[in-house]
Amino acid sequence: MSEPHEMIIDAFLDGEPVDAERLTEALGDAPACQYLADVLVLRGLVGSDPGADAVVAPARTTAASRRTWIAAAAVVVAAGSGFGLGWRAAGNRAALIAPPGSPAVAISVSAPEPTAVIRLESGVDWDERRW
Amino acid sequence: MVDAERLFAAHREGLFRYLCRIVGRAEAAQDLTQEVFVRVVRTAVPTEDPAGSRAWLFRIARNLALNHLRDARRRPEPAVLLDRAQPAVQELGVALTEALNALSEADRDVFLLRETAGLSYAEIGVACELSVDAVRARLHRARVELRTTLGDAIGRHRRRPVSLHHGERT
Repeated sequence: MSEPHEMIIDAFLDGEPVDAERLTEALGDAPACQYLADVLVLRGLVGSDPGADAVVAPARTTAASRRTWIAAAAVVVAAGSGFGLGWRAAGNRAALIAPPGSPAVAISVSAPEPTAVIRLESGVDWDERRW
Repeated sequence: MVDAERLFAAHREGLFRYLCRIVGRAEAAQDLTQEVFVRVVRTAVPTEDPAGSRAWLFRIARNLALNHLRDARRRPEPAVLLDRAQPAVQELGVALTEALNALSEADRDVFLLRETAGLSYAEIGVACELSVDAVRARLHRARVELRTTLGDAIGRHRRRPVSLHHGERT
């Protein structure tokens, strides 16, 4: 199959001026004839009305959308990990304020010392009758 | 002066088919077809021969389509045209869209302007700012690539009637 024959076939199919002798020669080439038939089929496929009864469907995942999903997954994992750590820390604090009678828990954290003491007296700083 | 509305009306179907294949979405193609109309009625149509006016019209459509595709790349809304009625047609539509997308932008433009709108080599040259020889070469390359990519689909459709004429009926 020769490319010049296909180019002659192209021009013929597209309504462009073609040398009759060269067209005859091209049509005598079996692969070029097969090319002609295939281009006509291709024309039928592409030329069919693309808007008729068509619906839009999402295409396959692109690299950009994959990156978006990976970033979203990373955010979810980070948020989940933070929640887990917070949950564990909250569990430790609950152990520190366990009610009397509960099993003894080793307290490794002591309460901070007060930096200022404010003294309030009844009748001076507030009036109980008003309450 | 060529009547802009008449020019648009004469090629509206071809414009829609071309835009549909280029952008891959019927709704977007409809919007772009309307946008072409707006541009055409706002601008003075070249007083050349009808072929020159047609090339000018499709050049506007091509520029709008390329702008739309550039904008669409920034938005995550890729889509393909499917036929909800027939799965086989749907599969072919997807294969066709993918095969067209695999072509270079210029080859795809040249091919679609020829096969969906029926422009001559000279008109395609004007619309795409290419020489006629470049149009000829790109068109052949596009056909060879599509023939290879869509070999199975073409094989299945060989027994169906074919025509020298494409979709353009003007």
